[in-house]
Amino acid sequence: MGKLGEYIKSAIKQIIGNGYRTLMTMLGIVIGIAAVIAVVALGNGMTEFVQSQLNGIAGNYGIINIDTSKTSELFTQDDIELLETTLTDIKGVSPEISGYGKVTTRKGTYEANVSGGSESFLHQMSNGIVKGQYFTKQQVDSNQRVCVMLIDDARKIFGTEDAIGLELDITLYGKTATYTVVGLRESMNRMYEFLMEGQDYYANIEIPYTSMGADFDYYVEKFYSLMLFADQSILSDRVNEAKDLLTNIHGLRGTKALNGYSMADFSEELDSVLGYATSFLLLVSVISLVVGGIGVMNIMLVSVTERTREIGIRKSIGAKTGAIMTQFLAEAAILTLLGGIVGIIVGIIMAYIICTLIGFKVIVSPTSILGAALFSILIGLFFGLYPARKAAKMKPIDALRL
Amino acid sequence: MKKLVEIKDVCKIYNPGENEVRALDHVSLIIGEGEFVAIIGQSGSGKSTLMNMLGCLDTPTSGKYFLHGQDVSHMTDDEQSDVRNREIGFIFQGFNLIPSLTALENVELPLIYRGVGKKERENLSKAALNSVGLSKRMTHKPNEMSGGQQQRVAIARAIAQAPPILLADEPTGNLDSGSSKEIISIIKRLYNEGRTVIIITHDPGIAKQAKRIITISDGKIVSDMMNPDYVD
Repeated sequence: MGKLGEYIKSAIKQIIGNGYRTLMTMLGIVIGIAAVIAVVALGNGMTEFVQSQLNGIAGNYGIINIDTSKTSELFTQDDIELLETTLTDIKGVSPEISGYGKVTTRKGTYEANVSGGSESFLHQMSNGIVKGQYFTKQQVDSNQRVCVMLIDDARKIFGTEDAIGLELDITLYGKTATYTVVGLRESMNRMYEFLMEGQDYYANIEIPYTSMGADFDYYVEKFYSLMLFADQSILSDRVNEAKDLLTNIHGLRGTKALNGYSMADFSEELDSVLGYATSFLLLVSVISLVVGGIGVMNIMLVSVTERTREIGIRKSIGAKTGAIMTQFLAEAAILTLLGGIVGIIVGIIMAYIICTLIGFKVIVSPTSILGAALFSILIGLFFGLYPARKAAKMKPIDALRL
Repeated sequence: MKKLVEIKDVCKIYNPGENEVRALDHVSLIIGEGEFVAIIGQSGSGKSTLMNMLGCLDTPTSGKYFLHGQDVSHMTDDEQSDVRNREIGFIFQGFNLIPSLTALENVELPLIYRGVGKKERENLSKAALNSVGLSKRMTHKPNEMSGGQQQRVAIARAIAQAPPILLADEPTGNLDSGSSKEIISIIKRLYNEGRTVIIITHDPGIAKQAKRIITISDGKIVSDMMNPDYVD
């Protein structure tokens, strides 16, 4: 419709004609939209950061448990082999046993958390091996006294990063055995440091579960928990498949004796928690946007009062209610759209600055930009409605008398 | 002569009740096509109310108003807007141009509201501005022009859409005598070109220029006669 174009043109003229006022009116919308964009980017960055850091600590694994109150069945070595041959795209399956004791090196004695697993246990953390190598299947099968630890732990308990080949005594439940370091894992990330801050130091030592059984009297023929390692994208599915397989083999259908959960589930939960935090921030920014909208309404009301005579003139020469209404609505919508565009630019800049300062990845989603632009127009239309109606409903004779 | 305007027994009462003001008191009036009428009266006589009534800017308290045989006295706001747009060209005392628009844009305005296409609109508006001698002022804004020039823009706006009635409310009230003469001669020319012209004024000197003079006082028509001194 050609008329609409004319109204928009005249609205733009009006907006440019009142430059200073336009700027001040837009400011509220600019701040609101910028806050929304920045908060959404910050939320995305935070989620991404926390997730990558957590994955960095924990690796991608799932755990399948047997509830011993519901059955006397336990997992066996055969189960592990079956899962590894059936689920071809997983990285491996390992039993997991652990104990809390002490390690003694040439430098001193330290608290230690000792975990036993198979060679697949490599994948329980995403920190790769930087020195030496992880213990092998042969070493596991032949109960060798070998161990792997973090390079940070090596620095702490040996006083050197060149710890490959060094020996340490592991004491668990009053028994002591001497193990040789064969591999060192990469340092932990910042999130781990943050989580461990303030806790008493202990070393994390990984050894073959077979040796753990032989040296410290652990029962390692059967297990009540298995770890399954796979890429995060397929982890949930594989854990469920493994659970079903094991349920069938052990004849536990209908008993609910097996539980399976994975890091992926945990991530989802974490996601939703972070989602709440983001929603809350978003709510605050939306409130500021609404305040901006009220500012627009205020200015439009002033504008209607100021231009009463103009409205009278327009009506006297044939403008209908709809025409006046469209003109003022267009003005409010363009005002807020302009504010929205400036706000988007400011918001992106803010997002970059804040995220870079904190160290988050900058993720400005196109949806938030589009949403912000749309929302700003809607605010203009909504808050412009009342002033526009007020203008349109004026009687020409009253408007001209002034 | 065909009836163009027919007012039947119209009353307009402000503040009905104890302090009521009868701005128009049972007024009846017929104006034919192609007439040149002056409505004269002192301030407070009701002539402005009559002008608002004739211009479809106001509705009567009682009585009827037929324009082109159509009853326009009880229309909705939007219908009245439409009638004003099609039938009436206004020339106001205070010019009533929109200050932010150029002369050309002001003249185009009623055509926009009528939905005339851009090309045609521009041609009509330019022709109208030409006919009032403002072809060189099209891009000027009202505050860049003299009073006489502004009133000529207003006349161009009134005639651009070629309405049957030109309704002029004290068209020379804000002008010096030189500009007044100019405006009156333009209005006379428009009458001679076949338009119906109604001038509302308190100035007998202006009224004398018209062919028919209607005098109004206290909301009543007290005399309605052909002007014996009229010269073509």
